[in-house]
Amino acid sequence: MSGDNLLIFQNVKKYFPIVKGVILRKTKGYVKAVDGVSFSIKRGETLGLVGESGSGKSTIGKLVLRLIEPTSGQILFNGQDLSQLKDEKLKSFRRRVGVVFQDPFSSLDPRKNIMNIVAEPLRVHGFEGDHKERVIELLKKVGLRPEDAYKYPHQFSGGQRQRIAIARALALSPDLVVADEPVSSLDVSVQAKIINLLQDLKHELGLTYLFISHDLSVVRHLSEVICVLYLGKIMELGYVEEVLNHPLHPYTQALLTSIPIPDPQIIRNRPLKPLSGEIPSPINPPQGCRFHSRCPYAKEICRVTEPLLEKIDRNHYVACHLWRELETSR
Amino acid sequence: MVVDGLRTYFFTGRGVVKAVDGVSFSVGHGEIFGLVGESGSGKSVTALSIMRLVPDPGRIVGGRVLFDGKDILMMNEREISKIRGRKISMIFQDPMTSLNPVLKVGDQLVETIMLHKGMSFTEARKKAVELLTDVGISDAKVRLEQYPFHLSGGMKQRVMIAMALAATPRLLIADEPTTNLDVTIQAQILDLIRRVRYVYGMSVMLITHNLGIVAWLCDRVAVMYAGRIVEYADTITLFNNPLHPYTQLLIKAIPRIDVRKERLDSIEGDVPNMINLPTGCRFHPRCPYAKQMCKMMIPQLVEVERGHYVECLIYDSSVEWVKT
Repeated sequence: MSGDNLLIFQNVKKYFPIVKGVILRKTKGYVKAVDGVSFSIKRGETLGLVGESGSGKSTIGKLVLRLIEPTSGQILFNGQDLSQLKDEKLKSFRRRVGVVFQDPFSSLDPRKNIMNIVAEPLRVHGFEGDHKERVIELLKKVGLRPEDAYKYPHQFSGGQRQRIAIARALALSPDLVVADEPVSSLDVSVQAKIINLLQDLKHELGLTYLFISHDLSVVRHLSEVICVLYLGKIMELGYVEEVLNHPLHPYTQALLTSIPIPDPQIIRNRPLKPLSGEIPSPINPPQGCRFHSRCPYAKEICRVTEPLLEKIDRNHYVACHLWRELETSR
Repeated sequence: MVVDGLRTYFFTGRGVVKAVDGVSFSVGHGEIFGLVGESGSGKSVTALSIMRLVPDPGRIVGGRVLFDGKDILMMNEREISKIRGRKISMIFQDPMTSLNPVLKVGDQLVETIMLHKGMSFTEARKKAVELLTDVGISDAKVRLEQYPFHLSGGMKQRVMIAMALAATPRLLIADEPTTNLDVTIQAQILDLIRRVRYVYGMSVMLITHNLGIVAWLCDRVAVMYAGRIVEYADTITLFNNPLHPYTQLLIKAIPRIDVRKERLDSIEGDVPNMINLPTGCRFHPRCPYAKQMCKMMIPQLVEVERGHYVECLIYDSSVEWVKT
């Protein structure tokens, strides 16, 4: 079935060693940033990856871009194993994946004008000639004006810079765009415009997105599929409407009730129920279910046995021992 | 506390930035007052002006800040230091930069208590344990011996709140207290702020860009745009019946977790350049209802219904709104 799956993660793990000592470097342990994650993204679909700090969502982004190698497991892009790609094939893979980062202030070189910034991927990949036409076409696509090509990043606001970063990501007409918190540093009024732009570009260019965000509301608006991560593991995965309207994992439920809804009548009648405790360190994640230390329903089995990601519906997976029980008692 | 016509300008090499330009509001006893706006709207500078902590090249050029009937802006350094931290405390967005990284949490907290309460070291230490327990830190005695880097972001913000409460202030100013925190931790800290308000019987001025937080916590709210308050009402009224075009658009532009929209409403254009502000109403270049006169006339805050103020010519009965 790899036919319509553009990206597949198969039991991917990424452990970062913790090294102590300067001369006699010893590995003292591992940060298990991503610990056995499997999912797939269909062509033309958007997968929203949500989680709090330490959940491993940005590490997954870097793995997809092959900026880091997985410790174990397989990542397939278009049916090809990423770790096997070399030379020409690796280069052609990089052409097909674009990236947009969170902070448009540090991701654009302040000494280059917009023309050079947006044309850089074209130059790196050996396309000859001046790229003026292509750059102007890209700028128009993201809602900037042709004359902006000769300005420098400091002359633009945060939202406009993010448009420039998007234009650069699209320069090589990629299939997949990895967007890591692309609207998190923007003001609400600007954020809405960038979300709409990403949505339009997806339809227009048939893009596939891996959309990484801590903001569930933003993910809901942009994604078809949502993947909820906690300490390097998938807690719940499925169609966004299904998961958010009918969350089965206590963590997904807690995330949803932690978000203050901007409507006083709704939120004051349904007060927030803060989860107790802190997010544990990924160096020493809790035994059994990783969420048990904060889960209001945790039982003995949760402390001992790690739950598997269980398929409960055509496209809804959950990793919880108790979901059935909780479902019937509700 | 009453803020009346506050103006704080920054005199930069490239021109005068009118960060706060005629802002008036009041914070009542025991209420949570929200100040909401996007970046550059002047909400943080308003808070710093109240604390008399405006950094160079900024200067408070006008207005009054009455606290218990006395004007904070007229006080000398000695008088203001009796208010700052004692009667009015402040917590900031980034607790890491507000805590001294080379001192133990306990030393910082104990010092604050000794200074404000005139207690002995032993008394202050007992009080410190009490305060940390109050803000929901378990093992308070152990935490006192730790350095800030031992603590998570949420913990640090709890310590900051404990420190702010040390002098049992009358007013707590919280500037984006949860912006750097994860949602589940944010909910904990907001819940804590709500609880300590009752326990300590103080007023809170909550500065945020998040309308969800306002909806949940605030009794009344003022919306700021480009250095001015554009609308001001009790929270339920503001959400049910927003009058200023900016408020209306802002509420519509937020992606909401409980509704999925195919397209989000957005606001045209960008936040204005504060050195070269638009003439007339500062919002007119982005306003869908703007008329010729919005470019020329500066609107004044008018009371449209009881306690609901808006600064827009549409609602100003002394101006005839030409429907063309």
